[in-house]
Amino acid sequence: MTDVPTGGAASRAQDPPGPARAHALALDPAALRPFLRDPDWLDAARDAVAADPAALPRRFALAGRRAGRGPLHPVADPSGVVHGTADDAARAALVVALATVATGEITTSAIAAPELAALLTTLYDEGDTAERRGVLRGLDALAVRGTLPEPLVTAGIPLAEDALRANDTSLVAAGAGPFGGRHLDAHTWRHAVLKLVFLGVPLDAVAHLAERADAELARMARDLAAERRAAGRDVPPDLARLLGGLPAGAVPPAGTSTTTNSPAPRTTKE
Amino acid sequence: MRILDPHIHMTSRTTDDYEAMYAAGVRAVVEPAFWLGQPRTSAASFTDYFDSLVGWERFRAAQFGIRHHAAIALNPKEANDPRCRDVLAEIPRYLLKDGVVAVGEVGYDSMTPAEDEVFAAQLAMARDADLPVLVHTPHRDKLAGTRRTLDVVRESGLPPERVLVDHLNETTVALVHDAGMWAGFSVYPDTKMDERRTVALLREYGTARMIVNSAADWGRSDPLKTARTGREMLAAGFTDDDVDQVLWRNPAAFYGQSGNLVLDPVPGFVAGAPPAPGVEFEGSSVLRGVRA
Repeated sequence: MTDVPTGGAASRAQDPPGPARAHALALDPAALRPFLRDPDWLDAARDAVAADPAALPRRFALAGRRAGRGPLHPVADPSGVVHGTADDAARAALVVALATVATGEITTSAIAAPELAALLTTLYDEGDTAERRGVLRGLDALAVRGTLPEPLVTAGIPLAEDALRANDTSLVAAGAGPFGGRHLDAHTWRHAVLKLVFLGVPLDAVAHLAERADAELARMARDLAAERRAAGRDVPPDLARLLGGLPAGAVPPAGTSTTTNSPAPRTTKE
Repeated sequence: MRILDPHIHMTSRTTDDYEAMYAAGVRAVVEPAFWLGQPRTSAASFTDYFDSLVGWERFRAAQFGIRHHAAIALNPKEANDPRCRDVLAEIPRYLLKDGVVAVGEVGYDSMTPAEDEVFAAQLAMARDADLPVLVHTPHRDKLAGTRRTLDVVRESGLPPERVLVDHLNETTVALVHDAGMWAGFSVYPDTKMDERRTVALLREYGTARMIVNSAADWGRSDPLKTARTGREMLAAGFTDDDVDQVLWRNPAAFYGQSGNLVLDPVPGFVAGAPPAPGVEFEGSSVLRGVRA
């Protein structure tokens, strides 16, 4: 069931362009600095974590106070749910500081992959909402950077699944980032997308949307639109993105043959 | 009237309460950890509760424009249950979390040796974490309990300005006031204090280091008692500035000692705006969809 693109480079090229996102800034210390309340703190924290992984939990807890909690895109995304916040990027940068990439595999400067996986799991389990987002954004950054070693994928999937069960919109959105987009199974990922529509979170929060949206997701979106119309409620505008951009009513039920000009259902990689 | 309710148990309240509180001027709250009415049977039950205080409840409050903070502790009643005491080992990591502005509620319930030990241990945690402390005073034998409380606090070496002693009344306020600590009054429909008696004590003792809370919880209580006390102050001739000091600046100064209090408005929150799920890039919309 898992839908894991191989060859990180091809997927990287399809990451949405445009506004800086927490996971992208985590990989680019110079670009991140202007977003931080105290950039020198992050530099020192990054060094401390690379020298001793045991320094991470305390730095993780303090990131909001030292790096700031503001949205990376205050006008478009005042809550930071879609594009992330300064502390999201700072925490993700700390995760990145523990891992370096060589020849497409993560090797570690400070810690081996199984230990990194265990540490991220503990950070998530013992973390508050922002720290949990930080773990997921860190996994996003590593996933965007290259193919993840198996222990990180195995550890990260249940964390993303946990985030998707939450009702806090920022956590759900973080579960649908590049890591989730690459490693969640199709059923879980489709439900994540639909849940974001329910929560009113713009689908810009979803990584790999164009690549992974399939006929089943379109059917789910169409059913939701029908349910909303039947109830006399508004149809969320983002649903159109799951229907190939056509008005919801223009798409026939899944599985029926059609001669209309409805878009060809996208296929999955399964 | 802007209000920081420095002691309220929002996990026991409804969204109607949050809306009414915002309308009455409440912009921030502190929720101390307490007894749930039903005894807990393990440390894990506490950690789930603490996670909720720093997680879901903060998110829920933000939907209504209210900044939510927490105080974390093992409460005095459950300090007596050996199945619960293991949670003491977990508390230091919670004291590091964003929005945890104090250790609390600590103090006495029945004044047992177990309560002595847990109270002293948590005062030491507050010192180590550089956090102020919210101290509950007992319902039964309150005057003796308050005296013993002040002795234990003095022995801990915590500076008096780092300590808020709560649930005071006419018989206990002088002890706390003279000790240089912050004096807290819980204004209730039936028990503890009412608005009129609280205002009388403000007349007698002044407005410095005096703090008013609703302590609203799952019992008969009223989350608007802070605002009602403010109105009673105005009716009694106190100025708007006096009310602002008691209901906002005093609790902000006390909890501000944590360096972890956030009082700026919730980003994207628009008072009275209907939920607008699915509206892309518009102010509050990303925060206010339906629950999925």
